[in-house]
Amino acid sequence: MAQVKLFGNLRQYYEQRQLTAAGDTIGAVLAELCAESSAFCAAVTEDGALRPFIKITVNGRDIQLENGLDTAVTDEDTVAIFPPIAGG
Amino acid sequence: MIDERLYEEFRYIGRDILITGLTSSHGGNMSVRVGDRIIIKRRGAQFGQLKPTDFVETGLYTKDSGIVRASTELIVHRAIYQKTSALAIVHAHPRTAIVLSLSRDEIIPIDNEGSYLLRKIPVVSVEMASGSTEMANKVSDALQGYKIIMQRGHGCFAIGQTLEEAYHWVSTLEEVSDIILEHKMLGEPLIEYRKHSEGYKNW
Amino acid sequence: MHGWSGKILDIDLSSGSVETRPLDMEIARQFLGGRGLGARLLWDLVGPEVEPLSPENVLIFTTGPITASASQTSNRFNVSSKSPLTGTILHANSGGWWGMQFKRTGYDVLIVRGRAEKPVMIEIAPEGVKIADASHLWGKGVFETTELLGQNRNKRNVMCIGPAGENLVRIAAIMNDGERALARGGPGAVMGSKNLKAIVVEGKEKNQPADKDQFKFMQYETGKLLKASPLTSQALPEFGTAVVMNVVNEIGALPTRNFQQSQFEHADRISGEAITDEILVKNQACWACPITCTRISKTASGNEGEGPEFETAWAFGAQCGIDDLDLITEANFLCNDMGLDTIYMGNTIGCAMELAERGLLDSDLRFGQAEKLQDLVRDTAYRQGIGDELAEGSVRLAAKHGAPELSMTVKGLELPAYDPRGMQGQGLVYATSNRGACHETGNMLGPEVLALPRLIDRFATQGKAGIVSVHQNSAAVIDSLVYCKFANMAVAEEFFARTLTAVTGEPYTADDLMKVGERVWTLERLYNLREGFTKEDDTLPDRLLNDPVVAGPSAGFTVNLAPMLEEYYQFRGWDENGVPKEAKLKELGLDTLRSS
Ligand code: SF4
Repeated sequence: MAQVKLFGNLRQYYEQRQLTAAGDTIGAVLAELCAESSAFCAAVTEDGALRPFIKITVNGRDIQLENGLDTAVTDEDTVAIFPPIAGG
Repeated sequence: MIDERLYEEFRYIGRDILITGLTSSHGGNMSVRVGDRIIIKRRGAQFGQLKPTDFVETGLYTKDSGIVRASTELIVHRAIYQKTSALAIVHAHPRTAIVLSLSRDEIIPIDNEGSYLLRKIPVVSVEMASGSTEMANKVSDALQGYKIIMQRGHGCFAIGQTLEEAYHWVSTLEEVSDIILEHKMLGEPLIEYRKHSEGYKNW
Repeated sequence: MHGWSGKILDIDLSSGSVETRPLDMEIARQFLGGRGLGARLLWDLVGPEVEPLSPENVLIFTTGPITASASQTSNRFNVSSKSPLTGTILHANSGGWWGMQFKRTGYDVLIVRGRAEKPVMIEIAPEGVKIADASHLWGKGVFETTELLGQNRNKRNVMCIGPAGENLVRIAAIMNDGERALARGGPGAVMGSKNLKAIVVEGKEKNQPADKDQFKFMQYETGKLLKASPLTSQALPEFGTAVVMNVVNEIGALPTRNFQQSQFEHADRISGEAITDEILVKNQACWACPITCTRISKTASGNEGEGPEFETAWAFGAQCGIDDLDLITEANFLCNDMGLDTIYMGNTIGCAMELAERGLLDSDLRFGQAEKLQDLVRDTAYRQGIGDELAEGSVRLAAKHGAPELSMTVKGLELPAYDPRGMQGQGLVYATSNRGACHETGNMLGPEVLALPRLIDRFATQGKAGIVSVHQNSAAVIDSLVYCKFANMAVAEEFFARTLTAVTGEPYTADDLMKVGERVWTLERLYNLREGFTKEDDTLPDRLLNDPVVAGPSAGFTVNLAPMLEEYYQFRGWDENGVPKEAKLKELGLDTLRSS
């Protein structure tokens, strides 16, 4: 199972901050998380696509530069999901 | 020459421009600025089938050998890069926007998204269509104040920091234009829902 | 006034003279205000012969044409000088209230020259300008000084130095409104060298727009964008700037233990989320700002104050291997009171920790020692014990102990919170920044990580120079207007241009603004070249160029600087030695400067 980490206000939708998911693509992982919390789903997606500024990385690589929601996920991977963030 | 990451960007954007109907198979072009060089799509290369060999690299200021195969609108691209802070240019032939440009001096969006992103798109008129100095000057001057402009009866020029950004403006312009056209065809009066919308005319 | 009052207040502390001089409006149009105007005035006033801590150096406080206009975030101002830390041009800006209040006194610029014989303060009020004795304040902390001088939010605002500035600590800040800092480059030491403790302002004049309708429309549109963007309406208010801690860590670009690693195992304990969960009391905003990014926090001991920002939480946190948020926050408060820049302080402490761990510095200091932070900060401000060495900055510290390569600096300025091995463009930003390693002069966090305006590959190098240059030019003009860079996350330059037009009544396009930015950047470059800096100084610490990251998502990468730098010079119209070419200077209207 891949590790899934949620950040910022996305943490409020689940008891733990470190989750696991069995899906083998980012899309499948999101579907699993969405099945558990529709509020999370609404915060992250809109009409089946990611909302603007939602950032997802697999082992630190942004999926926007990989294959988007089709990016492959294996059991050893860590998926991180961020709400819109700004600062620095 | 063109590195792999940049080529991939050209290829994806080119394909998307074609399949979303923003230009004909061979029409329009794209370029990016790298240092004091320009990488531009070759004349006649097909938008949907771009290969690494379809690009020409040329100087921002100086003429050099690559120029013969470059797009005929290279002179316009050069002027834009020299006069604005553009790092990428997309030139396409969005048809509804072209239709509107035939009877208007500016295109002012009536939809929410379009107003939010573009506010207003000026139309410039040039006697000779392609690649003239007059065109280069008019288009690049207009782009100093706007991120996308129409050239009457010809097409649009959009600028951005990346090709994707410029493409976004082109695609938004065509949506804006479709909505204006369809609203006009419906023939019903516009119920204004935006506050201060008269401000867009002065944008 | 419509944008500019056209007046410079010029004070010489050596002679006690106070003069009002006209602002050359041609220069104002070319450089606008803030950082640009400061650089232009500095060019004439402070040449290479001037020692930064001598009476001949000057402090130039500048506002911009939109300052105090009530356009969103129009609260900021700038200080320019020659840096006592680096010898480069110094510019630093700050928000709060002071800048807006100074503009209301009816001046665009305040120049302070010379050195007073004993501690003094300057008071600028409708009744006039006076230089008063400040002996009773000398030695006092920033909080007490600010209060004693009658700080009053919208009416009377205080700017001062703390013990660090008085003791000529090279990393000393000038503090305004108690907790806001003009930090980078050591301006507090310059103020201390002039025996100037504080500047208090009270004003009545208004910066009124020339075109009221257009101004209102722009305020409305700007407000709409700030509200619509999840970045400025949600992310910044909810978690503050430190919300980027986790993402920067996740991608492997969070410098850890003096840049030995690029991921910190306890990043989440010092992140914006942790700040909000554990110590946040409420949000606060600068004048005329709806974003409210500032955090008011409370520590276990009951101390309350502003902070910590992302850079501070990183500097005392990951850089020092420390995960105790409470003690990091205490160190932050103490820096504010002492008048010290937190980025340098933490970065330099991290350098000392590595020196000590390697046995090069005779000390039992070790990474992770949170309990030592406050003593180190205090010792630095008072130049006691090891603090006397920290007060000189990490370049001098590392060199003194025989390991100059352990100083994480560019042109003598400490690196901020991004490891450029995981963000190639940021490496180019650090290497070329005119005031030394700095992210605020062209931050690549936007394009390389946050997808602002678009995501670009953070490991790519081709084409980066253009993006870096455009961001640098944009930052330079925003610093000259002066707007807050966070507003720019939702509001583009074309809005700033139209607001500027409405305020001044003179037409500006987005590209006019970008040209101003380029002019400012190039002038700063000319200044540094005149000071003797060369292409050799456009570089990075060895560690970042030669030692690949050992683990995490950036493993195997160093900064591939050379090709980016070459492309950068070409993009900017500079020759292969990084000297602006004549044609470029002509284009920018700077050709007359170089020959003079
Ligand atoms: S965004 Fe933050 S720093 Fe900028 S003006 Fe607003 S409160 Fe001040």
